[in-house]
Amino acid sequence: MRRLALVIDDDPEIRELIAVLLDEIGFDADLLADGIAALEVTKPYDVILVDLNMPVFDGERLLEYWSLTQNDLLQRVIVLTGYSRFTRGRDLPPIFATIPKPFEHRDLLKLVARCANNEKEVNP
Amino acid sequence: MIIDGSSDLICTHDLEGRILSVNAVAARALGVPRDALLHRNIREVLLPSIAKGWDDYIARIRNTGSASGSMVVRDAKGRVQTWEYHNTLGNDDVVSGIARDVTDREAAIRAMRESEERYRSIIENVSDLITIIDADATIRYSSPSITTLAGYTPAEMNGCSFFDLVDREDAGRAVEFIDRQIATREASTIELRFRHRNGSLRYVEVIAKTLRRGNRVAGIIATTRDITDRRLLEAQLERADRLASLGRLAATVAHEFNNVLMGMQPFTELMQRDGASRKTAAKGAWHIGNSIARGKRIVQDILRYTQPAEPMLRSVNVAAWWNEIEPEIDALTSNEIAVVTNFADEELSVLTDAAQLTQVIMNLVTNARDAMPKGGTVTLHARRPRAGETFAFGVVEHPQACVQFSVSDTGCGIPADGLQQIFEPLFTSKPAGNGLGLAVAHQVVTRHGGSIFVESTVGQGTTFHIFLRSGGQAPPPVVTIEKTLSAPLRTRKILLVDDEPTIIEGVGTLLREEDFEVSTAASGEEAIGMFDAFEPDIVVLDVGLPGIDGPETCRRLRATRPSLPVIFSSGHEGGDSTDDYTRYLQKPFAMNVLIDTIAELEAHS
Repeated sequence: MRRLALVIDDDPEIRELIAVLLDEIGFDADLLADGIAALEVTKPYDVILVDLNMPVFDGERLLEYWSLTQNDLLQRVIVLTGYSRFTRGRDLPPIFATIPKPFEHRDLLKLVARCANNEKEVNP
Repeated sequence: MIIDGSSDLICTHDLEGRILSVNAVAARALGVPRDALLHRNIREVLLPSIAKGWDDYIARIRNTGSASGSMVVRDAKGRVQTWEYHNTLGNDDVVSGIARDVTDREAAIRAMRESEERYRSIIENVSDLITIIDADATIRYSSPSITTLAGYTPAEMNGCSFFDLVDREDAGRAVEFIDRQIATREASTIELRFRHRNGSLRYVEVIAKTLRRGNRVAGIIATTRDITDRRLLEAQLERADRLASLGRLAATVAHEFNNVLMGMQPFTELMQRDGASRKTAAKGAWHIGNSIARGKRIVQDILRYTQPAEPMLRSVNVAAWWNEIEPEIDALTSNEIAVVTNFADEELSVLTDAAQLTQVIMNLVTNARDAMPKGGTVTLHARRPRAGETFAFGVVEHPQACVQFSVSDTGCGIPADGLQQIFEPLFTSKPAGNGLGLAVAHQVVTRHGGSIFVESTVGQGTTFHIFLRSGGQAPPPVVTIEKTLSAPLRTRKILLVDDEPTIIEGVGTLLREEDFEVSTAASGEEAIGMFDAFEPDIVVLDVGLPGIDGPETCRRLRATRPSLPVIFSSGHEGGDSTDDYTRYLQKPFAMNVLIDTIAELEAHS
């Protein structure tokens, strides 16, 4: 049974890379380039990967927005943190995890698997 | 009478043309034996076209007793020859002729005429105007193109001044140009405006070359090309370019602001929903405020570029300035990026608008950061270049009067084709860049009267170098210029020894203005080396020389001349003058103090 992931990152290479990695461990991934396209989440994603730096609606805004509209999404979110002068030192809403860019592929996949499994454990 | 020894062609004939006698030279020239020529008719050797004029020739001979001119004959081999003849009629109706073969000369003249015509036709048919003018710019020749270019015929312009063609506003430059041209052997070029007879302006490019006969100026050849169309095209392109860059700017601004506005919109919608909570309002407002701040930054960037503030230049201590801005620079970078700095030199001060310099450095560090998404090292430092130092990346004038700031990264580097445009506004290789960061940096540095350079190797990193004038305690030697009116000194030759080039230059110049003969040395070794040849009356000696120091240099010089007068100059409090030949001056010293000290030493010697 394939599982479902959402990847939101403005860097197309990173989006594609993550899609390929996820595919190998049994995930189908939807890819979006900016938070502005992900305001209304309708599919039951097992995991959502969000980049912080995006030109229009950055990761932090998106998480805040979801916290006001679809708060239960946050527990499935893994944030990819690069450098950012805006978010460093600021608290993000409670989410599943953060992973700094650049990341080891192994570490990301481990985190994705745990996130997806936790979800299943909490909501069988 | 026939003289065989002559080199001329000689023959006699009767009025019918029958050949009565002929000399060997003529027979040889025609390639026919002498005997065979006798009693033949001379008309047979003439070209048929020439033979037609026979009756006229005989008529002339009869009427005037002589005829001369040139005739064309064909020899036995069919070769055509031109003979110049002078024939006279004798009493017995016998014509004596003497002639000379001028075939070669004729050919040479014809060839010259042809080549002259060829050149003339080239000159008269090129579209460029060719004029030959005297040293006082009087036109001696102008090619027919002058009619197209200026509306006058060559004949009308003959004897006029070349400057009459030039528009009044450019006349001064044209006069200078011709004056300069006369003085040089090289061809030189100038762009001028000609005033056409119909009143219109023509943009022209003039290439002038001086013709010389020995040392005398025989004239100037000026080749003038109409570049009006090129100029108009350039102006058009420039306008198009400006429009295009305006268009790019508008597109960038629109794009950036669209991002800002779209970032706000979802929150305003949330806040407008029925039953929106206080929490929603607070968070929404916070993010909207954030977007507004972002919009303001973009506006500032654009304004900073399009309406740059005049830099308020003050002398700023580099170390203190860096301490103040370091936290801001740190905040720009992430944990993956190491920042290495060296602004430790407390002496370093720079003439700058500190806020603008900070902006420039922040822009460069931001770029460095963006060039290293996977982390790396940013190196920042400031230093004072040495006098005469040269740099691989460009030419810096008076480097010793500058402070050099460098910002390096270990990032992706910039390809060579991108380097040329890197300071152009709106040139960006970053998806999120607005292309103004480096343009602003370039603009600020330029308005400071400084220079900015970039060097980059793809895959290794990029370094920006900024040169600004150093400030404050302006280059160490402050030599007060006060001309002295003391009694003339006997001292004539001064050896000036200092390792600081600015001192050598400054004090040396002032001493020369006082009519001293000055030699300079940058070290003790150099001073000792030139001492014997120069034979100075007095030595002005820096105490703190590298290598052999001042006192040691003095000792070695006095080994040969024990009573050599020496003035020690030193940055520190001077020592005591222990004898009549030695004095101490503390730097910086005024010129009159130095002169007085020289006078004082003279008084004791």
